Amino acid sequence: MPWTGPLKKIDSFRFEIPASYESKVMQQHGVRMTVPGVIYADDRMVKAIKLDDSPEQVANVATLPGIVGKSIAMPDIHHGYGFAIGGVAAFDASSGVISPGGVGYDINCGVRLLRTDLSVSDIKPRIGKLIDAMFHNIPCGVGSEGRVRLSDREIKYVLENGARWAVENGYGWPEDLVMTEEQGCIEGGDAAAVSDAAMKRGSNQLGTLGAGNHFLEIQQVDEIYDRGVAAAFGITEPDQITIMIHTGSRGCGHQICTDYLEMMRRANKKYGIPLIDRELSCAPAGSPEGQQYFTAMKCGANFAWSNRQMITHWVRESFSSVLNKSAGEMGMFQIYDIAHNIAKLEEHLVEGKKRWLYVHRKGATRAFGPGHRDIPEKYRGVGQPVLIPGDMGTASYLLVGTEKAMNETFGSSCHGAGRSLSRHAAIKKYPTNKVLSDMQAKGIYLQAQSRKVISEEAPGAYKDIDEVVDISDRSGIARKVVRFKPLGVVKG
Amino acid sequence: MVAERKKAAGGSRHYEFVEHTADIAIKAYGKTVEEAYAVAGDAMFDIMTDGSKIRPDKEIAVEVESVDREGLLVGFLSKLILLWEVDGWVLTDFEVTLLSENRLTARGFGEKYDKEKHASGHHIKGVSYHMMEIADPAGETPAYVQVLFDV
Repeated sequence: MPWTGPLKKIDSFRFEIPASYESKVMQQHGVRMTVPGVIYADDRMVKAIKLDDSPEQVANVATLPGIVGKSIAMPDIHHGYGFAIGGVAAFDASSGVISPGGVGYDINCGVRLLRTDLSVSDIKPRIGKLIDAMFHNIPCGVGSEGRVRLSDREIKYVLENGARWAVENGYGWPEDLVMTEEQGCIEGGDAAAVSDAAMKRGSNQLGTLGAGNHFLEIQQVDEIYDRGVAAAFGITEPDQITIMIHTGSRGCGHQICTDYLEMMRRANKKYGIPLIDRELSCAPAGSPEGQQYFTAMKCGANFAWSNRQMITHWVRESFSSVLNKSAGEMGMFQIYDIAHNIAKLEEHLVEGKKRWLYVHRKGATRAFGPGHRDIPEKYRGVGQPVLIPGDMGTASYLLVGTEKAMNETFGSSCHGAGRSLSRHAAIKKYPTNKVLSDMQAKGIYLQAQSRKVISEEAPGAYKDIDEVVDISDRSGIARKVVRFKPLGVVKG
Repeated sequence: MVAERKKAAGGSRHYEFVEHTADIAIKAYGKTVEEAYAVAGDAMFDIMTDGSKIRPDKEIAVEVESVDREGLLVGFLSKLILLWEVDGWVLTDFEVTLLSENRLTARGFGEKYDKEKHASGHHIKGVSYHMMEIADPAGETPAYVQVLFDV
């Protein structure tokens, strides 16, 4: 359904839904927007955004109790459940709400980027072997099971300690934790808030990639936009090799979301919060229900960090076995790991005053500017690395957070391209063999668990990532640092 | 697509796909709303594997409670994801009974997933309320449920 409501141009990169907008659904439920909605886009992109009614979702979020500032959407906005994907919303820690719909089903779906000292010439002749080794070593695809089966005690430890569990058990290096958002573990996770069902779904899936848009990718540095910042992140050479890991909390996080949507629907009634969309169900931040979800969500996020940590270890092992060198010798250090789907309790400056807020980022990336205490010390002078994955044949990006993001978007930026074609339409438009030959022509080696997924995930089925990243860069909420192009991909 | 099989078979018990950009939505029809719930269960396993290859060897029962019928539908289908992911069950030929607006029992028939035998389809992460419709008309008009799976 196309959006027909108001979308007022503020400047070259921002469009506003005024707080005076009132939809029929809002009228029916007797609610109003209390803050405006703001969508980051340019003239061209805003036309595409209006094709679905995701702006309506941005407006709906602005009606939730205690929302602060603006209901924000990134240039990769597209239709989600309740909250749009690409949405950022901050709620006052005492008068606001927490909503599982503002995080999504895949809690802490995110991206990790490893750098190496290798160059294209080291890799090109062995790209097939490397991708095949990763495909073999890292379980992926529908119904795949992990190489590690956790006991009840262990899964609880993972939920509360995140990537620390993985490193303590030999999967990776202590410095990986330093270079991970929240150091791979949000403190305060309590496994008691997580259902047996979620733990069961998690116990045989730790260290698995999953399916759909999740991937492992060997990339080559294609363009460096800012040599100084790139060097701070460990990228110095054009043709340098990097590895990107895109996955989340698997069934564990999905079940946490499912469990708490049910609980929140009850809470909504209990606290008398009008519910204009079932997927917007929420509870007051300070209520037992709100806090219990937040605790469980932390556990889901911790599971995802542990998941990416284990995969990182097997990526290093795969490279070592094919290239006969240790990961240390190849300089396979982690640049960073960020969450795309998460809610955080953060302190932000709002109209000159410091306030504690529950910042929901759903399909958006934290992009803290220079100097922030939550950025690893090594990067504090330049800002937080912002990792934006592409999709198979398309580029991926490394950006850096800015002061402007702190002022405008609660320190947030975009997260990826977002689909523009349905899976069905993609299958019709992009036959598997055509996608494979196109990728081969570009010199990209692909291993996928199913042929169908190759068509569904065809690069043409996604929005143009270059445009999305350009808007983030030119609007100033994150600055481009490096562009990567894919050499080989593992798809679940 | 595998699911076209049931659509082509026609009759009251069938389902069809509803266009959606990012995920997979279906509309499942039955003589009664309970049958429509059951068909949504069948559809789910068709999407995750190939329902036609499931041998209905063993009966599995589930029970769900929720605040309303929408919650029961989400709860029922979410339990099926759990059975598939945790215990490796692939199921078909569901029968559903709505005991009230807040309670549902169901049973399905199937076997353990076998990678060699059953096809590999989409990984369904969750069952959303988005676009959800439950139509329970009287008389000749078939009942249906519309549901969107997060994949």
